[in-house]
Amino acid sequence: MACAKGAPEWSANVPPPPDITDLVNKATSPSGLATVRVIVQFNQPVAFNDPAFLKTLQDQAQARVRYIAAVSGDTHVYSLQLPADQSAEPVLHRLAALPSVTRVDLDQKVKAQ
Amino acid sequence: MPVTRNLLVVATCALTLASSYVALAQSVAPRDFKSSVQAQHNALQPGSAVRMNRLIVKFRSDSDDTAIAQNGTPAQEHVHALNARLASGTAIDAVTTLSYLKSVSAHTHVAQTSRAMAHAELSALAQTVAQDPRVEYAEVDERVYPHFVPNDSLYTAQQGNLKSPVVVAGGANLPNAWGRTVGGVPVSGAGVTVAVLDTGYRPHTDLAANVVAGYDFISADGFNNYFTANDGDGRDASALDPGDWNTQANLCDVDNSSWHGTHVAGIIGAVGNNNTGVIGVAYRANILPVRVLGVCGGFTSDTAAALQWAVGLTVPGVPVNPNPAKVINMSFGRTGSCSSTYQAAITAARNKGAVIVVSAGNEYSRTTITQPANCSGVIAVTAHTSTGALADYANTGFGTTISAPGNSIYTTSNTGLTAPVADSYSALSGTSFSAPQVSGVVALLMQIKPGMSPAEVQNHLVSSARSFPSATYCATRTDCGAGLLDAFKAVNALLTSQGIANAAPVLNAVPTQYVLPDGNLQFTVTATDAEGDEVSFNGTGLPNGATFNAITGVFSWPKAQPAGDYTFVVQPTDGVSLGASVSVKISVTTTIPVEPVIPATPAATVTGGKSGGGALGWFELLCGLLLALSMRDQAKPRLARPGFRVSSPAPAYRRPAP
Repeated sequence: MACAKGAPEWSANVPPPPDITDLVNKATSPSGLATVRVIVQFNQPVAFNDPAFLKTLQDQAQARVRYIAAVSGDTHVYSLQLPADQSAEPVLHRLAALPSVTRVDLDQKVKAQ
Repeated sequence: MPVTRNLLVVATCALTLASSYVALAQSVAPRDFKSSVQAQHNALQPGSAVRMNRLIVKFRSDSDDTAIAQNGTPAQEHVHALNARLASGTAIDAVTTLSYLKSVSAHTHVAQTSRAMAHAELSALAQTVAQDPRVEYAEVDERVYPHFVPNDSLYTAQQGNLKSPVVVAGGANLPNAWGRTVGGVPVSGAGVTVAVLDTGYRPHTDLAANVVAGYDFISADGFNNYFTANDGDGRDASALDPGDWNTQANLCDVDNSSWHGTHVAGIIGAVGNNNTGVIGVAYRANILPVRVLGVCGGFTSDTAAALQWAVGLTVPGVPVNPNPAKVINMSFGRTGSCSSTYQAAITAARNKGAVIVVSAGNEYSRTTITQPANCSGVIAVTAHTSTGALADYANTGFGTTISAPGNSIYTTSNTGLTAPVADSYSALSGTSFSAPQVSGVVALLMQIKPGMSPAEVQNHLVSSARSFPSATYCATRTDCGAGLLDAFKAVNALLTSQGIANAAPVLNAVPTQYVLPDGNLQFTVTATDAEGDEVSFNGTGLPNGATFNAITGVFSWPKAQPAGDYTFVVQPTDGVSLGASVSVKISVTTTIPVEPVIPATPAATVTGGKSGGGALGWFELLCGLLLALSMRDQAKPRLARPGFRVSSPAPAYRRPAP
């Protein structure tokens, strides 16, 4: 599997947080693919929903990436399609390695209280 | 006939005594230009645009009008005579004249100015009039306001969470806060926009009038997947709640639609005083519904985006909010420390001057609260029961700011189990429903002082909170927050800081109470409050076997004994100010005095306030003797007054103790 240049090596010894596994399983489709949403904050202006830029993110993530919505001017939400049995955390690390990215977080759900 | 003779004596004495009591009361009245109560009430509207034109003028008793006729002619002359002083050059202006309007009592009359004046100007005029040697005092004829009791049909029976702590120990104490006005507008959240980030709203008839155009921020779950949104699309301009029922147990709990957002919105801003349903804490606030929660909750990203949009910040792809909110309610959360996404959004919103109120969560935790309640810069709200004790489910921990009622909070809802059907009302429990009560109170504060900073708002809420009840879990802890939400204390603290003081209630005089041994004594104390506040009473020195209702002021002693004299001390309070205490004398005796057939006597001793006592004169003694003689022939028992019975043989009568 080819890794994007500069992407950090993911340690297989670090188990994914329970939330991640949980989310991936919950969003599993009949095709065997799971969808997760990630929040990406950029440190510079980017064409956040431009197809070319999405291609860059997709190459880096090594997963299908789609633009979802904005959180603010510098923070946006993307969906990633991953094999259901794959942890999302390595993908997050790869995206975080992009020079234009400040941070990447799983977009977890909150509930009414 | 003895009865006829009794009636004649009583009538004659009553008429004469009534006159002499009026004179007596006036002769001991203070010469103060303004009583303290009135002075405080005057301060209520220091900059008010309301114009007034009435003065109360009391002439000295030796000012030649002791024989004032009912037609008021001498009184008119006295009032008109004051115009000479006004014209002498010491008045506010030479063109203002006074005319007689009506009489309050023998020497006290209401004078009307020839033009309406601002309060300060009218006060100055009163001072000028008071300098006339014929005048004992003059003061502005202040308006008094009735105690605000919402007429919403379900308020009394279902909304105990909003009541004063005297009625419901854990109550948020709204009634007296609602009784205040700002610039002539009731303290009701008017003009303040409160964003409700929740499941959206239903256009409930008891809510819709206060709703402004919001937005639906729930975006797609993924590739054309709108499971969470449940409306077939992503972000759009409709904040209506289509329902959040769930049938897939592998995703979250299977459940009916919650109508959570309609409930939270109703707690904050249900239309009030409309003879219908419930009243919201800020019943005239604008409710900005922002839909962020759908099936199985909502995404962190959508809620953070909605928060920023709600305060007027730009969110790409979404039109600018035309109704920026100064108060944000977020009754949701998840476990974990505050995420960067939340903290960034909260900081940005707070920097726009918005106050962000968040529920602490319902995980029964005594150590941690959920995010975003645990983020910096928010007001985190836990929940307590009707007694003020921490609700068992309510999270507490570091970062908790305050507690508000959280059990069985009754407000607007919908009957639909899945899709919406019809308006309804329901009761729900949780910190989700304590937080909006805090948001509502914040809206009240923002109405009073629109430019308040979030820190200033928080300080007022914290410093005005009531202590947790002793012996409850939170009583000695700091991680439950500052205490119980108290709307009236918060509103009053802010008004006071604005130079608008609160007048303490004044207990109305209570005559000495007499009862036969083993007899039943019942009387009611009442108080007057310049702002029309709901007043309760603190009673001390209760005799054994007697009870005192702090709300109604009813003293009851079904079997008074043993014989002797007792002193029961009552102090009125409006919840923030204590009035002067009054000692009510109770005499359990076989020697029942003649009951004076006159208006309320000044027999009670007032401490700390104005003098209210006075000795009775020879004429009263004579009347008492005449009455005693005239009734001596009667051997049959009679009901002297409700509450106690005079038994045969008739007791000897004596003058009431001064």
